[in-house]
Amino acid sequence: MKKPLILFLIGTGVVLINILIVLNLFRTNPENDMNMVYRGIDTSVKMWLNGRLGFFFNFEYIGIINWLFIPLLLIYFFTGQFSVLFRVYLLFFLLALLIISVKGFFNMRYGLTVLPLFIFLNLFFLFRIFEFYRFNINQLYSFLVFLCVLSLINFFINYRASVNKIFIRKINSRSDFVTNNPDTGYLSNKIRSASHSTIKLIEHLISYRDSAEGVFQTKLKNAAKIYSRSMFNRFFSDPLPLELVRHINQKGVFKDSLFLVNNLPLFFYYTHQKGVYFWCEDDFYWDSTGRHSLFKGRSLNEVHAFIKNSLKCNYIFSCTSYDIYDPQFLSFVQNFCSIDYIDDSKYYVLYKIK
Amino acid sequence: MIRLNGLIRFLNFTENNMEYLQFLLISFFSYVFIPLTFALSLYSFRRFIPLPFMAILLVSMILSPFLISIFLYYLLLLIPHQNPLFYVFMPFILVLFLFWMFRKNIPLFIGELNQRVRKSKIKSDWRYMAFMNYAALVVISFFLLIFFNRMFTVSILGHDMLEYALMARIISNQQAITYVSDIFDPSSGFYYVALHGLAFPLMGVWENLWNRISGLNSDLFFRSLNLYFGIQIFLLLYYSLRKINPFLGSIALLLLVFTKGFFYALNDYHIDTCRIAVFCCSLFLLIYTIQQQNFYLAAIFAVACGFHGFTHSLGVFLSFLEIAVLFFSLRFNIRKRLVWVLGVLGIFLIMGGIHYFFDSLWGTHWIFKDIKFY
Repeated sequence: MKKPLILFLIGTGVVLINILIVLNLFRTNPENDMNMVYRGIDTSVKMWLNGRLGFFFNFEYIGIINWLFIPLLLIYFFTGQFSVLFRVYLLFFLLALLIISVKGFFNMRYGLTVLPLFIFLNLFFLFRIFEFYRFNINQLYSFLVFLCVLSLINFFINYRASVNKIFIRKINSRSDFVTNNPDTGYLSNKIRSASHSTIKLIEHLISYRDSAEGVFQTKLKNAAKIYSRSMFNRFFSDPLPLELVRHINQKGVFKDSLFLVNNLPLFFYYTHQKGVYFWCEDDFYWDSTGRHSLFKGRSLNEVHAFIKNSLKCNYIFSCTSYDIYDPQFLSFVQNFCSIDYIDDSKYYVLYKIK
Repeated sequence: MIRLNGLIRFLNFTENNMEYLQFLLISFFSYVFIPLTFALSLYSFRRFIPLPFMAILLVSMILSPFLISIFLYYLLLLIPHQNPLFYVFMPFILVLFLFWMFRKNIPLFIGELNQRVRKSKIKSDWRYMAFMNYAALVVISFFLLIFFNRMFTVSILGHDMLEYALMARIISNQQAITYVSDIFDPSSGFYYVALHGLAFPLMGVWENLWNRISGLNSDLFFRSLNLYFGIQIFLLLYYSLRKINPFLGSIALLLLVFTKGFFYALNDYHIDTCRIAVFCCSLFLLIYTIQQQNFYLAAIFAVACGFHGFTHSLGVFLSFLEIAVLFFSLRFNIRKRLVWVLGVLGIFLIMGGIHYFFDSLWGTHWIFKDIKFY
């Protein structure tokens, strides 16, 4: 009687905790730092669950079984199979997690470092616990298949969510879209606080619009459809903005012109032109002597003069989603630049400084 | 609909013939010939190195591309500004020399390999086990096919990967490794902002040197690293769990590939699979070292730690932790433990750790500068 009950509780626990965490993490405060929002660490709860303890609870990137390490370790402890050597391993593992938690919380790729180890340990613990309590081995296999199916479902849900997240980012970053809508603030707040399902998002967005705005609804629906398709196609086609690269590489057109490059190393890799490396979010540009501030302590007019006269840049190479990371940079681009070339996806853009 | 246009183009061999030929040559040398020679060398010392045959193969496959990196590192640091042919042929000559030295063991090695392959059939104690094993194989092969196809169609576009590729270009352009406070390329205006080791960019330098000889401009090998190390992670995880229960091995592979983060790590060109593979390899060797209390194994473990550190800054901290674990797990008196750990630290430094020492003193000051973590 005990054994099926334990199995049932573990299974239900996996599902419930997953649901609880997913529900919690989808809440977003529209006023938060955009970079943090995209990284999923914009609230204190999310900072702990997705960031500091992301290797356990960031179900979106790390999967749903890592947190099982905690209960399995406790159960394994009670089996009395802890050797001294195993304790040393465990101490190493916990210290490694601490390093990742302190230094790598910001980027989920660091949490990924211990993923194979988590999978190994969890399966090892499960096997030993089932063996110790003399469960039927078929029950273990069934439980593992159940975990696998749950992981697959989680994978598809999160793949879909990430497609929508990028879609939100794209429509957020379309400056023409934002400036052409009078109630921009309301709209972007709605976008950011909406759930991660595209259809729900679109319904959410159009719910406050009357039927006279039919064109808007159709445009957004079509955009979502095209975007979902393009995200699938990105596995099979090259997202490099080849036409834009060719445009920049044209001989003679950009002679003696320097480019201010907004954190897009593709410029240096694929074009033959010379640029100045810049990142608007941190307000730094880099030259042979290190990094310097561009906007700090300068008015927009002064920045314009500095870029043209001191840095000798006549163009800015950026992408629409990066433009909105810094309001000053966005304002500069809107007031002192015109679009020279924008690629088909409306993502990469070459601005000409007036 | 799934379009495997990249793969078809590759198999047709109709366009970019030379590029594909060069890719095949570099891949054969880096992914097949060097690992097999390295495995042969380790196998020849099997009396001293108590590692199972399959473990020798796995460790060799993971560590071999790093051997090229470390060899190029010392060549470019100590003998800079030579003809690209020199840098390409030196590793080649070294590997050929090793191959020639251990040639007597080749028949034994092939015999053992043959035996292992024949013995690999799993005896099933559950009727669905075979099904699960095949399911895992089919799912993973399907994903790998898509990723392999992607390698021929999708350019490098990720920020970090381009940073590494550009660093590789800087090193191969100047044909030297120098330590300066600001890594700046005056010809393009590019500034290298990353702070990690050079193992990964040096794999790009390896391809760039071949490009210089052939006159091509290819980065196919650099793109393929991601997938190569991804496959190594799968193999190592499967091998580690298969010993406990084959079913666990298959389930582990499915759980790994159904994790979005790992799926993206395989899909997007990045350093992640490379550093995770070498981290797993160092842990794998640590466990064997502690179990066997064997100094030769500790030396190979130190090589893996050095490569891990040389790949990424996180690897330096994790390697020091692993070495601390080794210290506490040895069953000797304190003096002997210290001698062992000092030896391991020495190998760790030679195999890449020293880069951070140079970088902190004369270079970009590594982590001892104002950095913003992303």
